[in-house]
Amino acid sequence: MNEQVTIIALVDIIAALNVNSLEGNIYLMDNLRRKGSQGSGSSQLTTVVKGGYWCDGSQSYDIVLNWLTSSLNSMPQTLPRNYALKRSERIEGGALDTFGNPFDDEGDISNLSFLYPQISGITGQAVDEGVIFPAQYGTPIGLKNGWYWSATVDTNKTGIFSYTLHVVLYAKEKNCWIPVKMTHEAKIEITNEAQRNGFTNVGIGLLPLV
Amino acid sequence: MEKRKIITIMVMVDVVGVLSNDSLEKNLYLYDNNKANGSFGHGTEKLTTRLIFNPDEEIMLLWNVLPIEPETFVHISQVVADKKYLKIEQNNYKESDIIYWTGTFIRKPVKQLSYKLSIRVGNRETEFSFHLDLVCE
Repeated sequence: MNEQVTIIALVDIIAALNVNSLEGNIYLMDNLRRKGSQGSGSSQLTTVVKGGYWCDGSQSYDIVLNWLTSSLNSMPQTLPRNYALKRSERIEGGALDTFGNPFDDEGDISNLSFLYPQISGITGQAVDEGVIFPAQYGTPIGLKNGWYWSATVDTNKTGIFSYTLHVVLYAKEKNCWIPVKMTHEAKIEITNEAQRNGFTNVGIGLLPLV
Repeated sequence: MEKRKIITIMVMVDVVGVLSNDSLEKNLYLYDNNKANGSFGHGTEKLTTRLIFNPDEEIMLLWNVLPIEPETFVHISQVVADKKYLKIEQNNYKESDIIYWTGTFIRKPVKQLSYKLSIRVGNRETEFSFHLDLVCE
């Protein structure tokens, strides 16, 4: 049995490109806030997951982390996948505004629908020490824009571990998108607190005890 | 001609959290792309968007919503503000059924303007509503 954790990295692309930094311009949130994650919604996220293992020491529970990016300066990702691409093809690949119409180069930059940020890699302590095992996967879900990063977690290793998100933003220059690489630190904390069945409120893996 | 400036206000919702707790508390994250101009409360349930009015610029507010878990459903069902100041419209992205809400100013609010935003999550029939603020200078 495993638990799927979603971590969203929301970027104010214009602000980040202006200062060439994600600091203060990226917001991380996960779906474990009620289970103890710290800093959800801010730039400093510690995702807290419960470890738990059997009495023989073997891992009893897998956690899967999924990182998705989003943007404060683009059309929403609830639109069908490739929506922007199809709209853009009609104007020979030109840029779109935030309503999916051709972007007017004379207009304010706030009207431009930027390409979504991409994660190009995940490195750092949590990877080096074999706590998380990240890889990139394909998906048909629009919000994930075709590709997303995911990692399984070795929940036997308790503690706080940092990792670095490598994020690529795209700056518009004349008729091109120029990739701009940036990084941001986040953390994962693994506790040895036991997992509980949400229905019975007792441990998982055994028949429900009442 | 007036240049149009877009201020995007993004509502991020932990839909599973809302459905399991029947509350927006700790399940709502609000943002805008205007922190550099003094907006505050990013990442909390109480966002204040600070708008600086210039004579040669038209401000358009754009509201969008996104679920934290991609497989879940959320949409904005209503945005309500004083009609004296703000003209609110609902539209859909062409050739799609995805909607967005925009607000354009009929006149500049004196200082502060509160407005109400309602969302619907999953297949729940009732709306969840909350208030946000605009500070206008």
